[in-house]
Order: sequence, then structure tokens, then C-alpha cells
Amino acid sequence: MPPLARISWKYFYGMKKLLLISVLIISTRAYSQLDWPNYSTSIDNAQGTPSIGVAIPYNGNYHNFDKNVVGISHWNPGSKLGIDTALNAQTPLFFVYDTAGVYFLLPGVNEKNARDYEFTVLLDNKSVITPWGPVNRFTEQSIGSMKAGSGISGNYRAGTGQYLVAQLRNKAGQVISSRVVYFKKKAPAIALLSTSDNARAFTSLIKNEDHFSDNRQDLGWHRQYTSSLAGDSARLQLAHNENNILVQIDAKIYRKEALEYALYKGNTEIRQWAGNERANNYILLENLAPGNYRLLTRFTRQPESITELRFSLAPAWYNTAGFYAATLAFLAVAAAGWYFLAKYRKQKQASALAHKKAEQSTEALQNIHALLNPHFTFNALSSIQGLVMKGQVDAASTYLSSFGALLRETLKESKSDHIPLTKELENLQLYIGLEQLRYHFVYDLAVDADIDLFTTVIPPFLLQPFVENAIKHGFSKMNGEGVLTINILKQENDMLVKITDNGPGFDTAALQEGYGLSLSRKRISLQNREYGEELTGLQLDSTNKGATVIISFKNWL
Amino acid sequence: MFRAVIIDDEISNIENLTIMLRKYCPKITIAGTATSVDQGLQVMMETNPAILFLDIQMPDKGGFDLLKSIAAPDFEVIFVTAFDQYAIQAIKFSAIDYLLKPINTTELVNAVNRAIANIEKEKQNERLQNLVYSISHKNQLKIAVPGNKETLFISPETILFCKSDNNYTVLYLQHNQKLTSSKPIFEYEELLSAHGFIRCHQSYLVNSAFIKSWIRVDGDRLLMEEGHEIPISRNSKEKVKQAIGMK
Repeated sequence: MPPLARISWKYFYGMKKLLLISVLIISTRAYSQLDWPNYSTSIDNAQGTPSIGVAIPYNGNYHNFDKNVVGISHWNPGSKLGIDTALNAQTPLFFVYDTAGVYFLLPGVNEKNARDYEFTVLLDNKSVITPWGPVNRFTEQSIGSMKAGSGISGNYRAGTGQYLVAQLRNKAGQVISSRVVYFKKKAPAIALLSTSDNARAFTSLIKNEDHFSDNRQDLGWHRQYTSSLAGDSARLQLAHNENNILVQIDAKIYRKEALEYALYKGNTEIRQWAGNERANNYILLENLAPGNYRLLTRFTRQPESITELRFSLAPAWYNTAGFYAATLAFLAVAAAGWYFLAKYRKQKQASALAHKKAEQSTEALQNIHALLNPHFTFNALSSIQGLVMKGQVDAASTYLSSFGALLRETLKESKSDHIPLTKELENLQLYIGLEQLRYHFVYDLAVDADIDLFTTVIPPFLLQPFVENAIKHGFSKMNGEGVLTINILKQENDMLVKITDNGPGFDTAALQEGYGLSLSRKRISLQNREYGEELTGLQLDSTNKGATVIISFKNWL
Repeated sequence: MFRAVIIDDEISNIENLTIMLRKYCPKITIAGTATSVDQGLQVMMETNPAILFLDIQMPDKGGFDLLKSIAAPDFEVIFVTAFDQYAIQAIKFSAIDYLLKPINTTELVNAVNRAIANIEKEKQNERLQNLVYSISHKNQLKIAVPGNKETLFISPETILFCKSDNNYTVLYLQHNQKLTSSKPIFEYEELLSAHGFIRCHQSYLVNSAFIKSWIRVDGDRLLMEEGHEIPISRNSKEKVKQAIGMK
């Protein structure tokens, strides 16, 4: 009796293996009839040396696999995917999301040398699907870089979370090439959810068969929910006027049949599982009635992985057809008009932005140069030296730390677009304090109470060259009677900066502009280009009783 | 009298600070000085000072390395540094004083006075412990917000958004809590932009993790997790879109 029992165990084990093989190999049809453009092939290009390649089907979805072919060790640290750690960690690993199955290509193996090699396929590196044996199928056509007459396997597939190991060995029994194909779980992810009370806003998008275009924005949606929120069902409560919903699936689908969805209202199925009828990765739910909904989505070739989105739609408070029609017409016109306007403005902005980026890095350097122009820097240091020589140690120490602070700010802010007004004025006062060491003048700084110093911004060190100009041209020949006035005024939504001196004035036309001054002018015009309209203006005015510079920042506050 | 230790790798800096303290801070006596972290630890142990003037950047080991090796600091630290943006930012938000070289006399006197007030108020320096922790765990930064009686330590993940109120900033926290800080909003922007905060408006800084949706009817605004609606300014739209993953 005991020997018999042992035999029956063996028998069952063998049956199990057979069963697996019949499930796994679904197709042995002629490979020459295969639709090769539907497959992404990965073939090792080392010509001549036999190796294993992999052919993975697209089936309407360009991201049906992972193109990054790297070793197991990269994806499987700590056996995260459950791949046998006994496998060579450098073995290329492919992810497949499509349960339709893959083919192994065997470039370098052909009918002449087929006897010199053996091929095997294992499931999860445990169960033998195809035992070691010679390659006996060959292609009639070339596939990618693989010549016609090369070896090819049958079709293999496995369940999600399982993997196949294919190996090729030579006569000596040495494994010369191996590949791992992992069937990864993949349910559709929602990239963006847009809502509107007007489905027409979305129609141009869902008719667009070009799956790669991504011009979804600015189409008259009312609200958009980003990926992290669209997936979180508990939070998605829509208002009555969000009854048209455009769901964008994060996938490069190019055949709409690759995506399926079903819709439930309460427990009633209002749309059965079926392929998407719209263009590719956009699902449009039109004119929904108030209620609680569940949208189920899945990729056709992996039907067991389903994404569920729950949302509820609040009931509407009005329902007159005339009102609705009028609104609809108005919205359509407005959306179209607004769309073109937005497009136009966007173009303008984009070109300004590109230009700005190029100039920004040089600008940072120029800012440093302008502020730390040698004339100012060394004269300031020399003035401090004078204080030391005169024994005014405390004053020298104070000015030295001011100089340090100004240097620090210059280095820090030269890269910023904007800084808070309060910081600009602090820096300006540090600068003026140092200039007061060289020229004797007094200054007055006044800011309108309506201007918030902490949230209003200004390009850093923009004002300094104008102040420098006032001091240099205004006060160099005056003996202590110089008065510098800086007023920051609010005029409706504009901010005006007025810099006045009581010096002898200068000829504005023949003004010899310093480096800093011309740079500030350039920055003002750059600022205007960036926003596509004239935002800042510059006005110079000079009489023999003094000069005034007005810099205006339009719609700034 | 309060005993102080100065640690700086350059002797001339120690001499300069000693002279300034002698001249402007009569309540301070110099108990010891050191030019390296290892020597500094030795001096600290021997003298047990109330105030430590500590240079952040020194060759080999920096000032933070010294602090890491002291588990329960019972002294006040005033950092002294030449230029280190990251460290200064972290220090600013731990409510600890720092001085920039060359040292400004007024700032020195103010920092010393604040340190003395703190010594009389608290036994253990929690702010310092928090700073050392934040520096060694960059992702687990906590912001110290000094209040009347105690200093609160706030984790950025619990802030929904910040609203400017002149030179103050009101922090709106989860569960309808509010907190007023005496720092202006731009300083929070500098610190928190690395933690997913976006300046969507001149008066608002929002935590992108709490944005619920973007509302376009009646002007652009962001609907936040606990129902607040935050305006989006025209110039910030592109920035906000990028930050929340809308192309």
C-alpha cells in the first residue's frame, strides 16, 4: 500500500503541471500572420550572438508595458515584486500590463544552428512551462532588427503578479541569455476631472482622435479636480451645475476600445461595461441627473483591475428649459470667445517668458556689477577707512556692517524676480547711509499708508540707480544742503515711486547714463514684455532747481 | 553677570567679538573661547556658560555638529555666520538669534538682551533642540512660533495656508485653528516653498496638499480642504497650475 500512495502523489503533481501548461499557452497560431506593428519588440542588437528578445503587444495603449529595460535588482529591491532573488540580478526585466501574452524572439538562432541551443520558460521561476529543448519555430519575415528565419517562441501569458523567466543555453549547458517578463497589475488612473454644466465645451476634445495632443485646458470647464483628488471618492461632491463630467485617464490610449467603463447610479447600472465610445482616453458623462454615482473603469486587456470613482451630484434649484437654453447659448459663445482670447494671450506670454529666461541669468550678474560698481565700492571702503583713521571706531564699525549687509543682499537677491517692498527700502536705506558718508545730504522716505509694505513686491535694486544718479549729479557740488526725497504713492491701483533732489538739475536729453541707470531702464522694459503690456513707466523731469524721476507701476496694487 | 563662551575658528573674530561684548554688553563675562568644535566642547564642560556664541561654518566640524552632541542644552545660543542661506533660514524659524559678520552693534545688543530674557524664563532650551532636529532631519522641519507664555512648534503639514496681515502672518491650521506669527509672509514663503507651499496671491501662501479644487466661476480661487476659498492672482495662475499638476 505505501508504494502505491507515493505513485499517486507523483501522478497528481504531474497533472497539475500539465494543467498549467494548457492554461498558459493559449495560442500556437502561425506567427507569420501576427500583426507585428501591434507589438513593441526589444531585440539585443549584438549581431550574430544568440540572445532572447521580447515582443509585447500594444493593443491600443502605448503604455501597455514599461520600456525601461533594466535589471531585476533595480525594480525588485527587498523582493518587492516577489521575484526570486536567486535569479541573476542583472537580468533585464519587462513589465507587461496586457494579459494577452508575449512572444520571445531568439535572434541569432536559426534552423542551421538550432541544435546547438536550448530554450526554456518558467512561471515564477518555479513551474516549468516549456522544458529545456531546441528551438523549432522560425519567422518567415524580419521583425525589427531581427532577420527572417530567426527563432521565435509561442505565445506566453500569466496572471497579474506572476512572471515568466525565459532562458537560452548553449551546448555546454551555460545560460547565455535570460529575460524576465512581469505581468503587472494596472488599473486606469484618473489624471484630471473637469466639470461643466455644458457638455458642448468638451466636444471638440473628445472628437480629437489624436491621443497625443493634450490641449484639455481652457475649454470652458467650471471646475477641475486634479489627479490626487479625483481618485479620492469621499471628497468628490459636485454641485448641480457640474452635471457634465469629463474624465481623463492617464494613459496613452490610441484605440478607444482599449478602455472600458461602466456607470452605476445608486445600485442601478445605467451603462453596462463596454468600450469607450469617445476619443481614446477621455470619458464623457453627459447631462447626469442628481444622485450618487460610481464610475468603474478598466483596461480591456486586464479586466480584473478596476478603478472605482464615487461622486455625488447635488440637485438643481432651477429647471426652466428656456433659461437653460439661453445659458447654454451664452456659455458656448463665451467659451469660444474666451478660448481664443486665452490662446492669444498664452502665445504672447510664452514668447515673453522664453525671452525673459535667457536674459535672467545675465541680469543677475549685471545686477551685482551695477550695485557694486567699483566707484561706489572702493569709495565707500575708503570713507570707512577715513573713520578709522579719525578714531571714530563705533561709526566705522556701524558702516562696515551696513556695507556687509548690502553686499549680502546683493548676492542673495540678484537672482530674484521680485522682493517685498519693505526689503527694497531697507536695502535702499543701507545704500543711502553709506553714500551719506561721502556726500552730505539729508533724505526723506515716505510711503502711502495704503500700501502694504510686506505684500507689495518690486524688482530688487531697481530703485538704487535712480537714487545714485540723484546723489551723484545732484549733491556732489552742494555743501550739505542736499535734500533727497523718496515718495511711494498709491494712485488707484498704480504704485508711483517719485525720487526728487534739489540739485542743479541736468539736461534729460543729454543725460550721461551710468551703467546702473541704463540697466534699470532695461529691466523696466523687460518687466513690461513679461506681462504683455506696459506695466512700468519711466518719466524724467529736470529744472535748475532739481530733478524728479517718476517710476510708475501700473495695476500693481 | 552671565558667563559666555565664544567658538569661532578665526582668532581675530573671537578678539573682535570679545571687545564688542566688553564695550556694549556689560552683563556678559567671557568664561572661555575655542577655535574648534572639539576644543569648544571641552571649554563648555569646564565653564558651563549661560550663552554660547557659535560660528556655524568651521573647517572639519561646524557649529551644528557641536550642538548635536549635546542632548539637553541648558544654555542660549547666538549664532554668528558669514553667509549660509540654508542655515540662516532654519535658524530664523527656530526663534533663535543669529548675527551676520561683520557684526552690527545694535543687533548684538538686542540679541544678548533677548538671550538674557530667555535664560530667566526657561530651564531647557527647546527651541535649540528643535533646530538641531530640523537640521538633521530636513523633511521633518518644525517652525517655532513664539507666543506670550510658550513657544509652539508647528509642522508644515498641519498648515492649510498663511495669510498676510501687515508685518504679521496668520497661520490657518487644521481643525479651524489659527495662530498669529510676528514674521511677515515673505519669510514664510522663503522657508515653506520647499515644502509644497505656493504663493497664489500677494496676501496668501497655500499648502498645495490641502487644495481641493480650482473654482473658475466668479473669479479664480482655490477651494481648500476645510472650506476656505483663496483668491488666485492673475500673475500666479501659471505657477499654481504647475504646482498642482494641471498643465
